[in-house]
Amino acid sequence: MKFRRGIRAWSALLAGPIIWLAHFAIVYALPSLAAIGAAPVRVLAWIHGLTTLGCLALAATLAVTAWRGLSPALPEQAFEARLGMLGAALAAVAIVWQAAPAWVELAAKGGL
Amino acid sequence: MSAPPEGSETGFDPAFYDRFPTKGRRPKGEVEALEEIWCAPKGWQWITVINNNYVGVYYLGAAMLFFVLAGVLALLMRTQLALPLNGVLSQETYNQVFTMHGTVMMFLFAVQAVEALGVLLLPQMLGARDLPFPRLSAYAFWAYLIGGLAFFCSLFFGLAPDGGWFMYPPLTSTTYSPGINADFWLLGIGFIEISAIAGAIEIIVGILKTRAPGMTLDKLPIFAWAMLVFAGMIIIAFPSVILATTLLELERALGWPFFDATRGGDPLLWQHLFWFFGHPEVYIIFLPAAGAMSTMVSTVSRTPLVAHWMVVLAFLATGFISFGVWAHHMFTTGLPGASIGVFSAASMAVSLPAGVQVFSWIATVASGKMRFNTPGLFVLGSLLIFVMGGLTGVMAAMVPFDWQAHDTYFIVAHLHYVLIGGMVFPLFAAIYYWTPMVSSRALSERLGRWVFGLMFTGMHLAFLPMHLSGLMGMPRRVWTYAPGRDLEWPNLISSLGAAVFAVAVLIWIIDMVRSFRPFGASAGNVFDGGGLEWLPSELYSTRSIPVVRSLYPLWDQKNLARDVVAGRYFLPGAPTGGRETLVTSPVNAEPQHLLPMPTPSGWHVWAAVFTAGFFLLLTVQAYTASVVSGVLAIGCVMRWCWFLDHPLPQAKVDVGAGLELPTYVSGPSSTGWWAMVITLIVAGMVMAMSVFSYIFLWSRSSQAWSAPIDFAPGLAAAGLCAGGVGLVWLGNRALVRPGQWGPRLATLLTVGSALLLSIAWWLDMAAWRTTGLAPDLSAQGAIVHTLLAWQGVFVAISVLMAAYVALRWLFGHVAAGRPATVQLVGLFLGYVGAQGLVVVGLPRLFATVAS
Repeated sequence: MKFRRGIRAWSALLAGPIIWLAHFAIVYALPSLAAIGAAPVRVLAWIHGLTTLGCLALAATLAVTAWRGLSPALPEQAFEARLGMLGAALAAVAIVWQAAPAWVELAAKGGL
Repeated sequence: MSAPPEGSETGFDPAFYDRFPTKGRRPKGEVEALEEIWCAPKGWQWITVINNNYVGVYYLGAAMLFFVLAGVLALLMRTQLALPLNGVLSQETYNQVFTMHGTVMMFLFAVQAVEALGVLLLPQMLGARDLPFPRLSAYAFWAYLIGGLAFFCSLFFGLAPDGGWFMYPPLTSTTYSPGINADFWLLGIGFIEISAIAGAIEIIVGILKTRAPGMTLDKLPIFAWAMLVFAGMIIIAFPSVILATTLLELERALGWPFFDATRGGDPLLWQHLFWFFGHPEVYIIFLPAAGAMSTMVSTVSRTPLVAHWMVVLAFLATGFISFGVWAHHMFTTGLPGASIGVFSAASMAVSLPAGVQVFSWIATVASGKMRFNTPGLFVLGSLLIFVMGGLTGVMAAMVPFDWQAHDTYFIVAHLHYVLIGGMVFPLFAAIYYWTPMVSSRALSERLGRWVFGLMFTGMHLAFLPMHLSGLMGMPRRVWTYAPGRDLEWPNLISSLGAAVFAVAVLIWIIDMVRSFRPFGASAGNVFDGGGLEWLPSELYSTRSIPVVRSLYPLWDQKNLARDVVAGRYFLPGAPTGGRETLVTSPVNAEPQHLLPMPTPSGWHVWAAVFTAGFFLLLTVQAYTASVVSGVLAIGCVMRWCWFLDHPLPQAKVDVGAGLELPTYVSGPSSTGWWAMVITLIVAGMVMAMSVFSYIFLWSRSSQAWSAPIDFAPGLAAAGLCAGGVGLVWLGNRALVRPGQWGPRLATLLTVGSALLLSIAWWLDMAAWRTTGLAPDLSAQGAIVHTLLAWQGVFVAISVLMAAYVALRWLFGHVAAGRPATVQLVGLFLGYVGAQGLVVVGLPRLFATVAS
């Protein structure tokens, strides 16, 4: 109860970058797994796609939630909501950007 | 009981702030008491002083000393390269000089200078009397100064490292770098990083817990935001270089083959670990400078920073994304194509938040009325230079281009544009801007313009031609070049530029000698800044701690300075009769309690001296003396801690307008709890990077890793670790229960917990010894024994801490009313138990998978 306000504030501020970070960790790990033959490339490509879509969905949810919290809030809460919203949008751009090289490579090889 | 107000963090009602400024006169003697308590040092006290007004100036002064020393090395290099086949420096000396130039600039100047700026400015900006752990700041400073000077002096004995500032193995292995030159780097830098981490802990807790009431996150000064992200990045990034240097030193000293490919190691592991630290390091340096720029640009433009909240977001985003770009330094090492693609994309994505900051600054300049004074000129110069460096950075983020430019002078030009534009120019702007806050005289505007003009010209003369020489194929780190390859003119111009830059620095030194007069009255708010740091202040900081209602309180809160000086806000006197500051909540900055602050003593200085002695003596292989020095350092730290956790006679005091706050708290409300949690995050990051190293070496091994593992001791060790965590948890609960047995039981359970953890570690170690897996024969053996050794160190510290609790109990210092020490030791032991589970589980898990 006592820490709920603090946790909510820091979650709003950091959720976007954390989603980006989680996506980054997964798309970084997948080529390494492919390099040691841990799983078929086709399976890893599906994991890559699903992870990207999942993270984008999370970022979109976060942005909408933050946007809804904008108007009636206190000034400091509006600040956090604005940061959360734009942070989620920035994370979405970065996620698409860092997922793209794998898609381009896949397309060049003729898809799945 | 009424419900807490909406949005409140602690149940505090913000309507209370309406009582300020208070009416009427304050009692006589309050100011005199503050002056006496926070008095200036005399004699030896100049060394033992801990007030940020002194330590911050010392710290910044030391950082600038290293800037000048590393600059002299740069001049030597440019003299050598001014002409082809020049003979000013020998090849060996040149290698030492360029290694020391990079190392000193990155480790002893850049990080430390911005940290020093934080120590100096943050208390005043946040409205605190001082940062929460002033002795820790002072310890960090002395450790840095002693370690840094000893490290630099290695150059005069021909013992300086010569493997480049990133010290890649196998070049730095004992085969190719015999002698102790590389050891100076590995132990010296590891030691100095500890000092940087100590400073970062201080800064995080200071920003989160010692802000003026009402300074909610949206009113937190932009510089403080930058410093918060900066310190957080240090906590995450620096453990990686600590692990890397430890592993390489273990390989050099004991032959454990982490990076030796012939015994299952991989030199690329070093590059991953180093650059996981090394690239965020660039942003670690840049972010505080960007925070300072954002502060100064609004003052010199006489308007609030445009899109302040977006700049905050840019800082946060930069902090995160910078951890996803380390491998762009490794594009030429043969990484898988898909990995390269991810890192290239992330490297380009970093330009988004950087762009937000730059456009915000440009918009602020465009929307305000710019004053072209010295700080303003440096701000504009920085903008231009940083953007140029950023653009070449985006070029280098593209893999095909990087393959061509890698290890050429193009990269030297790029990194100097980024670092000089992103850090050096903002730092000089900051020095000219904030000098009137700490000195009775401002620096000369006339000389300042000369400094800027010469520095700006010299910088471009020195580094612009390097783009060309790089594209013409001149590699980095060469001590000379052959004539007739069109490299003569670019190099001569670069050398002339370096000389012009040096003249600028010389004029700045003259200006400092003429005008910088710290530790007394301040010159005042000569630039009309809007932050709290421009309130009239003395050695105790401001007379009273104001309620903050705006991002620019001095611009927006009428009569603020007058009311603060009249003591009409929080803490107008010294209610406990000692040094103290107000502790507030991390999000809303609601008043929580009063923190008694320490007074100067010599223990932190001795602790720094002996810590430095431990590392330096280890470097020269004087092992017995090193151990003695280490033991003395531990003794000093324990004596220093003995002063802590002593409740005051006054359980609660009036901090202003009738608000009574406790003078002793424990748990998450206390600053000590936060410091311990952050310290454990550092330890956890070292463990996380160790796990990464384990998996990396396992995945890169050409032979299957296996060992005949007996699972029974592992299970027993895991059970003991869990038991240790359980005991310490019970001990913490026992202490706060009513009854006279609580302290005794808590002490016994804490000691019991340390005992269980020790037995668990010994069982695990014995189990591995029986397998015959030797640490010097294979990478598997090396990394398993590293995990065991790391856990062993933590177990040893746990035993020390438990003994410390037992000693405090003997002296009657363990009681239900003062649970902080037992709680913090409990946190540590709990972490060690959890870490023990990882150390027991990870190698067995991989052995099972392998089999």
